[in-house]
Amino acid sequence: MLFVQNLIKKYGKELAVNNISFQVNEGEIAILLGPNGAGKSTTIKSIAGLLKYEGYIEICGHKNKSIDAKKLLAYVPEVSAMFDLLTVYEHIEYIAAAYGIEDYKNKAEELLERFDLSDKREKLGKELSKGMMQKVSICCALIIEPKVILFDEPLMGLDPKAIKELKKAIIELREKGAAILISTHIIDSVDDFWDKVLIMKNGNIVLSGTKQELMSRNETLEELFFDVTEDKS
Amino acid sequence: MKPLLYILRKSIKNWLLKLKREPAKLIAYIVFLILLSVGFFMNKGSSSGKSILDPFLYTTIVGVVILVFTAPDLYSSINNGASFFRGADINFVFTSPTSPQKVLIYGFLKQIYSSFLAVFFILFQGYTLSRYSNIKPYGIAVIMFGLFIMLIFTSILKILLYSIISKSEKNKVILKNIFRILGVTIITFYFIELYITRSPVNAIMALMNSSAIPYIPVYGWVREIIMASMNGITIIYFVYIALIMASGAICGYIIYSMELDYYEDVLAFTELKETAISSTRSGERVFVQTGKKPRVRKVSYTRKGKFASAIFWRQILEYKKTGFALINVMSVVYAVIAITAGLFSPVKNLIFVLGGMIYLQLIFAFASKWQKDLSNPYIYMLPDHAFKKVIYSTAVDNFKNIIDGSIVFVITGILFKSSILLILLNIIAFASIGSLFIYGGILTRRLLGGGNNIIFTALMRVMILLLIVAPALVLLGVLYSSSSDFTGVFISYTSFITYNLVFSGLILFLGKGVFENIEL
Repeated sequence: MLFVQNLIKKYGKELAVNNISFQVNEGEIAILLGPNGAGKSTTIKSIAGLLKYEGYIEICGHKNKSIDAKKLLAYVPEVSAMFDLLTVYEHIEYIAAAYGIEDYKNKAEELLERFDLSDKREKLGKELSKGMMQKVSICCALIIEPKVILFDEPLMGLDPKAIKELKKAIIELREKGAAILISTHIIDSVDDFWDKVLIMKNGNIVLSGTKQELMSRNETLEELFFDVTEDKS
Repeated sequence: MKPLLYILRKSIKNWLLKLKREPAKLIAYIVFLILLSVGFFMNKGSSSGKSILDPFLYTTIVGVVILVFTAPDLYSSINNGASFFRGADINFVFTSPTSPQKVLIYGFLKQIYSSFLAVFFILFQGYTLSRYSNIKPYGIAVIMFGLFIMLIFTSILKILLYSIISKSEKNKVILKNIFRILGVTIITFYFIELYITRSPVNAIMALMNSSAIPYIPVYGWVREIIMASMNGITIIYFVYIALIMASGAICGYIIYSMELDYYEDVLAFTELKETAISSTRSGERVFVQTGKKPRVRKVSYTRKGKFASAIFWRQILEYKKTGFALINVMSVVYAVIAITAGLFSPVKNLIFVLGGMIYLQLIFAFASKWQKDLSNPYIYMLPDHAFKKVIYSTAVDNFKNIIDGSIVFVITGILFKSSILLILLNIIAFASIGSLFIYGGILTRRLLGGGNNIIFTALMRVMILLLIVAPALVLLGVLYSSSSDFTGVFISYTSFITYNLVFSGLILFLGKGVFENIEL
């Protein structure tokens, strides 16, 4: 489970995230929506432990920057970065070693197959296109079988097959009881599988609720988004 | 042309406004300028105590600087292209309804600005030059001007060369061969001089003082312009300037009238440039890649480690792919330097080799393996203690220093007939200051973060690093120069090593959190 309480993040004097609190339960897919500059990526990076922040973040009962939390947490960044001299397969091997996972080979093969990387396993990091880097990044996140997984714009640069496979993988993770947080701009892409929505604007969460809670409003996710993010003047 | 000038004008204006909004940065720039001015104006009045700079040596230095700063740059433009442009220019300027020629002029104006910034740092040498009585008071301005027009001309020539080779593959082969012939000619002349003088230093000096050099178009003329800082400004000085300007104008005209479709050629190089800039900005080593398939050895990833140690074994794997264990191209370069120093150095003393090696370490201080890891979120996410992460991610760099140190000091030590103990002391001293550079680098990264301003952050990093290592160097210098026997030498080395190790440990402790937070 992911638990965020009173998260504040400032860049210098600029307030990027303004005292937000939310939680994503086990087996739940939460969608983080918001216009550009709303604070979505900053929130995700703070949870991933990449930024200094004020507030409290917990991953399955452990503080997010603790080693125990990191073992359970995976993160797919918006901009993937690879090790230039490592092949696709070596990236997965390295992550398995870094997370102390020994029995990963079958899972690795399955992931490579799933994301059409089997024939590119010997390609070096610096030879990969942006889309392929994104796929490797996803494989690296999935190999650790995380309990909490953060996706920052995961569909950017992916081909249609990879998008389909990623969606399937996300649903499988939910079935296995993982808490999933996805930040995205493409509302349509997540419309069919979200459980909870968090809409951010100017560093604040302006709307949050589960699918059931919001059903009474008889609005699509897109309509909800524009309702709360557009200035009514 | 108006919209393009608008971009330039607004960029400068916004840069100034940004400085106004960030007074800390403004103060830093002012302090930096004051420091430069102090260097520039110091020692101006008093001519007593000034020494004479050997004109032959000065001509040689100027020649070598010109050669080093232009030849590799021009040669690489044949392979990698050249570009005055940034990513934003490609997206917004190339696609706009503006003629390629006008876009080229716009790029050229931008280049003038960056060339000006580059030569600005020559002011650092102001103090050094003002110590010599035979350097004219306006010497530094003359040097700056000479280098400035050289850089601008080189930029135009690079575009011209790339435009020529982009026309056909045959042109590329011809130009490459011309470069090779020129290279072989210089090397041949060098060996002829070496045969005559029997000294590599004298051979270079003789080569660089050749009476034929002023007749070499542009670069020979640039040397003459710079030499006016010692010889004074005469009519011929202005003739050279006019000749260079005319050459630049001719090259520019050829480019302008070539029916260029250079956008595609510029595209790839600009992408590489953007990667390099973002790498520098995040404090990493700059890996400018060509479009070529990288050459790596096939090695199996057998030992992988667990948790933080996985970083160490991954770095070993990367080294194995590009060399033999930790011995790579850099080690070979060090070996060549060692053999050259061992055979030809006029002073057979390992302390000078150590000094040179420390200087090289300062240059390459931000090109270590751990720096590269900072660009990737994996190291921050890795579930292990911060301290272990720092230790494992820097271990390879430390081992590399021991290996490179051993290569250099064993070779020079044998050639200098030094004792085994002294060779060992030098290896340990080199490795220990290497670790001070590594952990000092980590501390500067912790203090300054990634930094958005490349020049400012890089400068601050070097300054902090110098502050950290300076006491060690002073300690070694003072103790070594006052030692009269081997015991004194031994004490100076051990004190130096102790300082390095103690401060490395201390700094390691302070900077260990570097892999815990990344402020993007």
